[in-house]
Amino acid sequence: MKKENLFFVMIFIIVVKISAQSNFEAGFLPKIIFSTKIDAKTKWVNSIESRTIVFDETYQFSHNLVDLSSIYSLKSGLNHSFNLGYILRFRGKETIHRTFQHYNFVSDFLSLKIGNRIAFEQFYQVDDNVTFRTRYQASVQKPLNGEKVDVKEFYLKLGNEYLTDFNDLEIRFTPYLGYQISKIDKLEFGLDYRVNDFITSTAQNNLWFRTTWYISL
Amino acid sequence: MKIIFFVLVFFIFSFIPFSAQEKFEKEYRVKSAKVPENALRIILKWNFPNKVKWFAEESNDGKTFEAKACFKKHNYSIEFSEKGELIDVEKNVNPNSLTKEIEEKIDTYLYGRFLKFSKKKIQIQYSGDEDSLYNTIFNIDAKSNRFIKKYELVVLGKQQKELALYEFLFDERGQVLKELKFKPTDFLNLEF
Repeated sequence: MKKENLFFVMIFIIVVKISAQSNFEAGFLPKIIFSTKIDAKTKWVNSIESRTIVFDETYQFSHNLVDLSSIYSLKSGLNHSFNLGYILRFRGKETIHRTFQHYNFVSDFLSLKIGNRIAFEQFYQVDDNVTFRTRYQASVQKPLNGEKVDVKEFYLKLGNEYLTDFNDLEIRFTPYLGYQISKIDKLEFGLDYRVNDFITSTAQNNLWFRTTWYISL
Repeated sequence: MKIIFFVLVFFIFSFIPFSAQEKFEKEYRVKSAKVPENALRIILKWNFPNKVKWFAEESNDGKTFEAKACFKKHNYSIEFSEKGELIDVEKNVNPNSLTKEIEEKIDTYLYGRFLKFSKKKIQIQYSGDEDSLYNTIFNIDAKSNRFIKKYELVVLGKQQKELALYEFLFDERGQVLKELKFKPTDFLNLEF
């Protein structure tokens, strides 16, 4: 069986397993990330993401939110970077402002690339106090053919992230199948499984089908 | 909200040069059955104790085949033409395993070139006839051995404020034959 097909079989099994749990929500999360180089060390990254819920106790098709983000990214070393960003979230009539700071470092091995991200986030809402969140993400990328990802080749990206608002913990697992479309853009599709509230109450399970289109100019 | 989304998608699309000609380069695993007969014959004859992995590399310059093998803790890469002619053998070595003479020459050059540098990877390239290359890998010292030795280095170098990766090819006398600056790798999808 082709490796790409094996990925879809794996995804199917995960979906069946997770959807059998209680407190379950599922939907789509399409995202476009657009990066423009300012100079050799800095880039400007913008993204748009929308969320559509297809299951929350019953099947439905409801538009949930849109996130617009703008990030200033500074390369501090060959494989290190600092990012400062702002996210505007539109959810119904509500607008949430978020600022964040990232520190990224990537270890580049022969065929494996391991990305690490440490982030701090601040949420600002009308009639509410500022809330804080911190997160750490590790992701591993491996080409499915050869030692590096060439144009028109597939790769696998597995991510694991831990988020805490200092009250509770959220854990995310993200298996993606990526495809390098051209030298400037790639497409990733897969799952974003999130489990939270499992310390203070019954666990909440979220399963998002993600498609992310990365464009760098 | 949906309108914003579509307007943005359209905006992004309008930036992408879809018809742009790109330098074509592709490297992928191949099964030994797909490898040129002569290349396979040589590798089978050389009989590496560990598994040999085959790769094909396609670019604007043509197609080559590479056999990658590990022998006595060194990684070897044996390169063949599309017709299966032996091109060269590359051996990965530790930076401190070079002879003092060549190491000094390379270092002198790099000190002159960069404010600061570190050698990330060193490969010795051997080119010559089939028997000489076999003798090189399997440490057989023979009078008939005739090969040309070159040194390929990946160097992380700092010039003024810019830090970048470079590839250098030195000949046996420590003269630079080729220099290539790596384009910085984009890790966008591991950052966001």
